[in-house]
Amino acid sequence: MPWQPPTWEEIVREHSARVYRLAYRLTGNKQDAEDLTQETFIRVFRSLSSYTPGTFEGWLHRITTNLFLDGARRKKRIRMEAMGDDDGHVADTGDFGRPERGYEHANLDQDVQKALDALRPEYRAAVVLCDIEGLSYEEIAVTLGVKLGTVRSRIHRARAQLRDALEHLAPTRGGA
Amino acid sequence: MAHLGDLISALADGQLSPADTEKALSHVTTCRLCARELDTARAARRALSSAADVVPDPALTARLMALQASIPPTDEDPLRRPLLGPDPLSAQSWQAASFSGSFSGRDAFDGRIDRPARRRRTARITALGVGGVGVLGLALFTLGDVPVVSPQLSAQTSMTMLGRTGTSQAAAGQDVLATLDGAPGGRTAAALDWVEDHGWVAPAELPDGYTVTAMRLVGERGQTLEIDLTGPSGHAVVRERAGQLAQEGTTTADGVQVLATDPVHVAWQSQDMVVDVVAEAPEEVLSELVASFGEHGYDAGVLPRIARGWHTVTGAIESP
Repeated sequence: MPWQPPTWEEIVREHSARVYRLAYRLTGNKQDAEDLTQETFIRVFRSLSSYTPGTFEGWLHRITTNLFLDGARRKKRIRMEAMGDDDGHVADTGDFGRPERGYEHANLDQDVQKALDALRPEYRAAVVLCDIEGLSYEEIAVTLGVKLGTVRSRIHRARAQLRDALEHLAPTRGGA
Repeated sequence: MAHLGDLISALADGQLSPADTEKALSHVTTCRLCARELDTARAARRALSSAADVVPDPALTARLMALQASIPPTDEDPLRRPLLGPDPLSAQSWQAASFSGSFSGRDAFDGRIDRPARRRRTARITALGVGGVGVLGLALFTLGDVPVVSPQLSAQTSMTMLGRTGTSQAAAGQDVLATLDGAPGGRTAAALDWVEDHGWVAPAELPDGYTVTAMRLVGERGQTLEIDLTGPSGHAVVRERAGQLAQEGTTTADGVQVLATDPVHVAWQSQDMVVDVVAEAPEEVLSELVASFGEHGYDAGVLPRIARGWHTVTGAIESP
């Protein structure tokens, strides 16, 4: 039997939770995660013609992460331009970790998310793909379009910073 | 061996080759600094991977489902085409240049219905899962309590509908036909009885040689009935849902709307139901099919009007 293309419903049902989880870990809040998820699916929707079976997850990871990184770069520019008008913007690490958004997912380990949010977007992407999505370094390299060595060093630095942040945020958690 | 540096994380993640892993581990046993770093990396890794899962809001899922209704289909439907596209993992494939295709989703009957019609329908089956048809979709206008149904005006929709006739596909919705008793030969009669008994509009009689090959309640609340017909001259798909047919597109004086011409896709109002039909059958068969539904309507005058309407419609089809 020839391969049957999935229906849109099947695609959404099967993949939306994974994309949202990744988006949430990357953006750190519900609103941005939903926007990113939706943007990802719009891209998927428009470019389904280039879909072949078996690589959907990788494709989704790639779209989600790259949209996130693009957005983060844009945001950074905007923040730079806004500097001087509003000190709050400068001190803020973006939209992430705003207090009013702090308790959206009650079951979420807030400290972990806060620590993630403090990482540079590139580091965050690498470490999230590794630890939360369980991708291999090779897969992460393909997803991010960087060399294997870069993946390794990003993850390593991200871990070191995470560790510092987690110790700082939750002293009792420290130790190994 | 020098200190491990960023190999530490790779070691913690099991991403080193067996030989390198062995080398690195033997270093760790003799180097306190690297041993501590390894512990650190493992702890950070544990902290991340033990973070509780987050689950998308159902409203988000519904919005994603509805994308198929909100982005207009383009000329070709990639999902109905042989796969010739580039490897999705190749670096550029998802990026802007390749966004040429579009996708006309399976349940693009997007007249969205948020409220059921007043008429009682005992068979509306709830909780069919997340896969709602047009849970969100194009505009919803209400006239009194009756929602306005706006069938999607696109040939792609029609092709998509036709493309998934029969029972073999992983069709969404609740399969009604499978629940009906009746000998294989009596399936069609049983199906049409079910349709009538449960408050939908049933055709008085199917065109010669046509049988019901599948029947599903589609949508979050089973608000759309989809009947697949197969006969000697091709497939037809009939859909029904409660509501008021939106007055848009090409409408004949008698209320039959031509939504698409190749294949033919028409819709009309029958009592409180909007019925639409996609068929690849010749005109006589279609005409008969349309009329057979109309005959069932409460309005005694509906048959001649639909018959007239149909001729107007076919006139339009023949001279586009």
